[in-house]
Order: sequence, then structure tokens, then C-alpha cells
Amino acid sequence: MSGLVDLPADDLQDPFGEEVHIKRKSNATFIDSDTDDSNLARDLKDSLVLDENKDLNVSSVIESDTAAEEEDRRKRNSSFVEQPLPPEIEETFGRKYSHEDSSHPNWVKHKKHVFALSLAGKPIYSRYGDEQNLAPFMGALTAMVSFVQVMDDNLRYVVAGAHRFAFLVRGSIILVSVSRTDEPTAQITSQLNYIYSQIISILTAGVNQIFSRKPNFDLRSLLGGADRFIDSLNTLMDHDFSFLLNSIHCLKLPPQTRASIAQVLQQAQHTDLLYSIMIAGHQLINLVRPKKYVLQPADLHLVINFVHASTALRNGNENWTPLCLPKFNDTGFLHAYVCFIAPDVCLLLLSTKQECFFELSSCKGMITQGLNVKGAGSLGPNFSLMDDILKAYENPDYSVSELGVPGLLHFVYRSKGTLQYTCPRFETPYNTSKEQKRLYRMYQRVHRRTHGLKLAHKVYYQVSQLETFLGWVTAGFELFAVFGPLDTKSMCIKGCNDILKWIKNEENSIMIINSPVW
Amino acid sequence: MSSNKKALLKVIILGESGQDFTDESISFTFRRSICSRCNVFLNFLTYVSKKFSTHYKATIGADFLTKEVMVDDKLVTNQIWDTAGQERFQSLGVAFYRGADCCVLVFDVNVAKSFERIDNWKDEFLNQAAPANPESFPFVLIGNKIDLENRVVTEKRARAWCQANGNIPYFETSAKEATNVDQAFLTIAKNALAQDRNMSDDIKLNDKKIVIDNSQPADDNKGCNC
Repeated sequence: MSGLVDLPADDLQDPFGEEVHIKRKSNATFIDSDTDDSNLARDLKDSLVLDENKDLNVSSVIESDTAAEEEDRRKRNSSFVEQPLPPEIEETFGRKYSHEDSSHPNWVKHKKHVFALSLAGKPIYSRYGDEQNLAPFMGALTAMVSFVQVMDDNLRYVVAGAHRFAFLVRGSIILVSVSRTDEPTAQITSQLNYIYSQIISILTAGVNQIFSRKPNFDLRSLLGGADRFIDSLNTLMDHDFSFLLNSIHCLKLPPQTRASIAQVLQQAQHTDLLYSIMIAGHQLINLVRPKKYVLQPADLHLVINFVHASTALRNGNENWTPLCLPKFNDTGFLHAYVCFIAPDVCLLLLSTKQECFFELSSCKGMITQGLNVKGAGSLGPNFSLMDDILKAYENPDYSVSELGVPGLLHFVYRSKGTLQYTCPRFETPYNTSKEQKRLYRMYQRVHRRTHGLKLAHKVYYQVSQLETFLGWVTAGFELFAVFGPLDTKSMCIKGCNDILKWIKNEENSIMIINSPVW
Repeated sequence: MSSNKKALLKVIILGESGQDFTDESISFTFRRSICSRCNVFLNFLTYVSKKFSTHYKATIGADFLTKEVMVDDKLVTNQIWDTAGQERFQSLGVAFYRGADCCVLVFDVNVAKSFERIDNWKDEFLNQAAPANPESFPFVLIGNKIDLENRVVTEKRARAWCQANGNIPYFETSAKEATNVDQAFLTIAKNALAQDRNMSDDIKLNDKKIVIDNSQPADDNKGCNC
């Protein structure tokens, strides 16, 4: 009975005055299908009640099943470990895996394939392998989609053994993911939506007009070297909570510093300037916007991905590039002035006008000047706002131990009002990328349990061999917290309340509460 | 515009014995490898059609292959959609024809009926694919199995049909000896590329200029209310 936590049956009642879904399993394994899972959970719950009274066999049977499954999964997963290639190697040898095609023995081993193709079946993008060599495979994918379309229906997903094929048709583009990562279909589909947005962000929705005039159009002729943006987005979506939560991650800064930065940005105003955005790494420092044009998180994610995928931007030069933000307006381009004002700190000034580079360049001059004024920062008279930013970026977020919540291993908190989230940095036991990925996948599943269409639990509690998960969704926030496997439920609930208290206190430094406007 | 990407053409094969035509001319091992990779798909398709088969063609009525040819020192990939004369590819609907760059009509020179049906195939294609300029759409006619003894459709008859249909290029092939197959694919690629060049005026990206109106108070529904 390893891993089962001893809880009295009475404890199945609701701690927050809301429905509680208890699910206890011997280890961190899930069943593919949503319905199966919920049934299993129900069965488990029933069996556990029995369990504690007399019948111990029921749950041990289930235990061994899931243990075998876990073993099986481990074997499968060990066959391929994704390792990012250093950028300089990638530059020299072109895209990683580009020599592979569907007949290559390694090609089938990748855990998550992503394809984009036109409705006519012409390849646009493949995450692994050269899309041109995959033309026959793409033809087959088109055939599957239209086979179902002919029946006046839409193909959403197919489960075949450990693989899940998710399909999405947007405009004239078919997006397909073939994965064995056990991610919920809804989340994979949302990732495919992001890939579509990325393509639109490079070309605008005008591509669909081209396809309607010329269905045999080969989109790659316009996309050029855009593969790297989609590649980088695919990698990001495999570990960045921003995409899972559709929220923004802000750099933790002293509230006064953030307010001063907002002032600096606001002072560098220009009539043609739409958005001023400052990011450090993948985190937002601050952004100034017109009052009536809110910047959607999905658009900001594309901006951040764009900045990080283009290595050419990192040289500190001033860059001027068209960029379409699909949620803002997918029919046309904004024009972005992009400049790294410190090694990992990027300033973006977005305008609707194509010819205001020099105006925005002088805005940037004012901004860097303002950021480098000595004494403006929180560190002392010899330090500037930029020093604050660099210090915060060097040591981002916070340690989970700062909260002083016993047993707490990690958590993610999302504010629904501001569409921002916060989480502590990864520390032991999540110090390896493998463990971080496992944790991310767990969050994905718990997120699904609290956001599914059929079974959206407001509170979700789950004990596995390695940790206890608690998901809590209210009208104002979402909290996902991870505790040790032996922590009691009352301890977890108290822990969650302590997290909320801490966040309330720190709110001004971990989030942008008053979004500055022009 | 990037020039490092190889050109890719969608080539549709219609007719009675397209199967033999592509079967022999394209290496069998490659075809098999495609099929084994797509086994999972096959299982799905089998499930949908409630019939068991180990081949796309038998399940959804089409096969997918590629053939590369050199046109003016440039490598061009033909993405071949082969129906092998089966009626069942109708289940693919308009997707099968959509965005075709070239249509290859194949008949068996030993079967008169297969030649007589060529008109139907051509009309069917023009109806379904609805290309922008049907008069100049690149077709190619292939008379296949010329190695057999009992030929009934003469070359003269086939060429006459081609002439009457706007000078469609005609090839006689023998799958057995791979006669003219490469030549046929080269012509297919050349004509399709030429057609593509004629229509390339259409591929301008029409992005609209974004105009921001700052004078009015917020009444726009764009964006969230955060």
C-alpha cells in the first residue's frame, strides 16, 4: 500500500464549502481518456471507502495495474530524451533533425510532432524532419481531415495506443499534433491555435485570401525562415505556464521600481507610439498601452517568442520589423522597434506607422537615459532602475521557502482579473529539466481537471507517490499547489490559505496591478 | 521570398490504371515505408470505414507518393495523389482535387473503355478542382502498358484526342520497362511550374493598414476587460 495516505473517510467532505473531488492513486499515472479517468477516479473513491473498512484487495489490484502502466510509460519515455541543441550548432547545421523523414527510424520516436499543411495537402511546417520529404504523410493527414469533413463533421482527435493525434483547421491551414506526452487534447488544441497565430503574426490573415484565390499556393515561399519561430514556440509551450494559463508572467520587482519604470516609459511618449513593452528574459517588466487597446496575453506571448527566437536581435542594435498581433488585429501589421538595452532586457516600441523608426529611436534614447539615472533605483544612491532590473533578472521570482509554508514544494497562482500568474523558481526536487517537465505535465492534468467541459472541479485534490496536488479555482483566482506526498489534507488546505495571504502581501511586486496607460 | 525551399507540386493521377503506372515507376520500398509509418492512421481509417485493409488505397481510395525531378537545375518534388482508378476516392471529396498543380490522365492502351472514360475524368477534375483558368490548366495524358500484345487504342487516336483538348502532352509508357516515365514526370513538372509562374501575380499579401482612433473614449470590444 505504498504511497496511500491514511485519511479518514470523513475527510472526503468539502473544506472550502465546495465540491471536492478526491482521487488517490499509488503513483503519478493517468489514464488517457477523460471519461475513463473520471470513472476510474469514481471507482477508486468507492474502493477506498471500502478499503478503509474491510476490503484491502480492491485498491491493491488497481495499484498494481497503474504501477505496471507507469513502468510501461517509463520505458517508452526513456527511449527519447529531448535535448536542446546549442544555437551555434543549429546555425551551422541548419535545423535539428531536418534530415529525417517518415522512413527514418528516429522520426517516429519523437514525443511530440507538430505539422502544418494547407487544405490542399501541401506541407507548410514540420517540427521534426524536412516538411518537403514528408509530403506523402501530409497528403494522408489531409485525407483524414477531409474524410471526416465529407461526413459534415470535424476531426478533433484520434487516440491510437500511446499516441494522440489532435487536429485543428483554421482558415486554410490544417494543424496536426501527434504526441505521446499524455497532455489533455484541449491543451494540445490550444497549442495548435498558438501555432496558427504565430503564422498569422508573420503574414497576417491575408494568407487565407491568397489561399482562396490560389488553393495550390505553397505558403513556405512567403514564410521563409519562419520555422525557427514555430520551433521556439513549440519548445516554449512544453514548459512555460504562460501558455497553459493564457496569462502573463511578470518579473518580480519592488513596487516603487516598477512604478518608476512605468513613469519613464510614459514620459517617452509619441503620437505614433501604440505600445511600449519592456521584457527581461520571458518575463514582463512593464508595458504602457492606450486606454482602450488592451494587449492580450496571447499577443504578448507571440511578441516574447519573436524576441527570443530571433538571435539576430540580440546584438544590441536597433531593429525595425513588421509584426502582426492576431488578437489585436489580424488583418494588418504593426511596426516594432526592437532593441536589447541590456543583455537580456528588451525594449519594444510598437506603432501603426511604418515610417516612424527615428521618432521611436529617440523615444528609446529617453527611456534608456531615464533607466540609467543614478539614485532612482531601490538599491541605493549609486544605483539606477536598470540595476534593479538586472538584479531581479539575475535572481528571478522567489524561493518557495520565502513563503514559510510547511511541506510546500511548488505552486502556480493565476489572477483572473489581471490575467497574470506567479510561481516560485524551480528548486529541489525540481532542479532537473526532466523533473520540471514532469511537474509541468502534472500541472497540465490538474489544470484540465479544473477546467474540463464535463467535469470542472472547483477543488481538486490528488495524492501520488511523489507529491500531493491541490487545485483550487474561484471566480477571482486559480491556485495549483504541490505539497509532499505525506502531507495531510488539512495541512495542504492551510498551506493554500497561507499562500493566498502571502500573495496578497506581495501582490504589488509580483504583478502589475495598475496597468499604466497613455 | 526564400529560394532555398524546393518547389513542391501537387500532381493528381486519374484513370484506369494509374496504379500500375506509379507502382512500378516509384521504388516499392519507399512506398512500403510510407505505409508502415502511417499504420496508426490506417487503423483509424479502417475503423471509420469498418473494413480491414493494409493499404491507404483500399481504405480511402488514394495513395500518396513523391517523385523528384530536375527542372532547369532545380529539384522539384511531385507530391503524387494516386487514385488508381477507384471510385472510392470520392470519399475524400473536394480535398483530393483542391489545389492541384497538374492532372495526369492515365488509360490502358489495351482497354478501349479506359480511353473512352478519359473525357469523364477530365470533366470531373475541372468540375471539382475548379481551377482559375481551366483552358490552360496543365493536363498530361498517359497511354500505359504498351508492352502488352493486344493493343486496341492507337497512338494516333490518343494524339488526336490530345490535340482536340488543347494540345495536351501525350506519353506512352510501359511500367515494366519504365519507358518514358521520367520524361512524363519532367513534362508534368515543367508545365505545372510554367502555369504557376503565369499565376504568380495573385500571391500578393493583402495586409490592411491598421488605423488607431485615439479620439473616442473606449467603446471598442477588442481585448479583454482586465
